[in-house]
Amino acid sequence: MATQLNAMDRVLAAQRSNQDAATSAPTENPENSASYTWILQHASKLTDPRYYSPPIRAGPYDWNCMVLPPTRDKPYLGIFLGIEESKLLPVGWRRCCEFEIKLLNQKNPDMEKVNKSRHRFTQYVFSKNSVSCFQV
Amino acid sequence: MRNQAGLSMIQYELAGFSLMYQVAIEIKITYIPDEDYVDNLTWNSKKETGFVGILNVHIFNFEKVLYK
Repeated sequence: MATQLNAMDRVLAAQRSNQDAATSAPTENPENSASYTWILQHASKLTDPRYYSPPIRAGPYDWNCMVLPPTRDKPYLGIFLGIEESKLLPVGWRRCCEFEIKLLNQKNPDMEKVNKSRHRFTQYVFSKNSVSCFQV
Repeated sequence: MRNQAGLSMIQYELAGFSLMYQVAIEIKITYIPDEDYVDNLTWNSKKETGFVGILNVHIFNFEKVLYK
């Protein structure tokens, strides 16, 4: 039970942090880094085919996370990282970042799913409805 | 742990999959200027073509992650 409470505390702390609009993380150059915890409420009742996080500013660009909710045919949660409004960028654009996406397990932190890597996003990255993104 | 209906907590939550709950995704991004980018070799060399990303699909099983 204590573990569950700790995990919930983390989520609540993240919500408070988001409310304070604190998106910077302490690194060598804070302006190049961002941290954001996206809370999807009522997840079992999501009906849209995809959901987008608010823009996350890291460096000179905005990024966002996209979630494909589970469906009857595809009972899994798809999480993507993408470039905000990439379809408006000029031909040949490239954006690089290092990312860490963590699906928080609110009951047991040991079972959190994490994917950490770096990627160079280009206009050729998997595009769905003109949204360039990279599944993590 | 059992609730009044006699179901274990896990069973209760699986049975209540249609109940409201929240999902929390923590996102950390560090921008790297293109000229400083070095491939960390965790993906194959064709990654910059983009379409390879589909082959690296990492599917999170929603229920397992939250309720296993």
